[in-house]
Amino acid sequence: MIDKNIFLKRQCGECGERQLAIVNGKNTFTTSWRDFPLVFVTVDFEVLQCQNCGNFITHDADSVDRAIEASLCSQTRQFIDIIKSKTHLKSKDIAALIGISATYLSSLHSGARYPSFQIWNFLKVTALDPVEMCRKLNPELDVVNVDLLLHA
Amino acid sequence: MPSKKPKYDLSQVKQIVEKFLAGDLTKLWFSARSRSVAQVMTILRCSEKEAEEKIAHAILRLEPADFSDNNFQWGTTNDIYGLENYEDHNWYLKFNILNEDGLESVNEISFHPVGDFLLVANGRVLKVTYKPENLSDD
Repeated sequence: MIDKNIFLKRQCGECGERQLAIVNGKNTFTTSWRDFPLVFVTVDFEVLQCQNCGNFITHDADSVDRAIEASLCSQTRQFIDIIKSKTHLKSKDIAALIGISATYLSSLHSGARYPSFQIWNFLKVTALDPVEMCRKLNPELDVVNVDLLLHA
Repeated sequence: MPSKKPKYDLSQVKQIVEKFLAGDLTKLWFSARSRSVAQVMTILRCSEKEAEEKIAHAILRLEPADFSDNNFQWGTTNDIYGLENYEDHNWYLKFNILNEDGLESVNEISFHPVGDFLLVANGRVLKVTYKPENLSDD
């Protein structure tokens, strides 16, 4: 276990002040990560921040990576849920539209895996307007009719 | 050719970094993440942990001939080194050794691609090898 008090006494490398505090990085900490140009951390995690200049300093890389993976999983699940709720398509249909297997989509939804940036971004764009996007991806598929057929 | 000498014993720096790689997370401190870990993550497309380890291994590869200069900032002298052709780029390193109640750790202030030509102790000039994607030749 790390004694975080050691870090609190240290100097910020951006402004030179010794005003570090442990803060919750949720909704404020962003970073590039693997193939993601930018990840917005949306789960609770502890990070050091200079109270003078706002510089974030990470002291436990594993916890940062875990927070980023959890954020990506959470966001991915939300995108899939939005697409499902607005199109009423089944998982296998959504997976086929996006070009991934139903098993993979299921593992993304459960959080067992996190997606590549390409898949994450595709799901995000689709979630912005799921009905229109699904129609563009497969013009022959009438999402509304599918909905009516499935829920009649 | 630089006439200054490094303040910190490179072998001592490496010993401290070895302890970091062995699991003591207090031994390597990235006090300006945006100029070190975050840069490595962006350029090499890796995770936070991988970026920290790449930086640690880069420090272990340094030789006295890679020394470039030192500077004085916020009451502390920092040593500046240039590392050639590591992960396909030339890198600028700036660090000092922290001494906290007798416990020493390496403060890695900067670890990023060489932004301008960097002259190192043996007369080599490290060229710019990385250009951010948002910059064009225009």
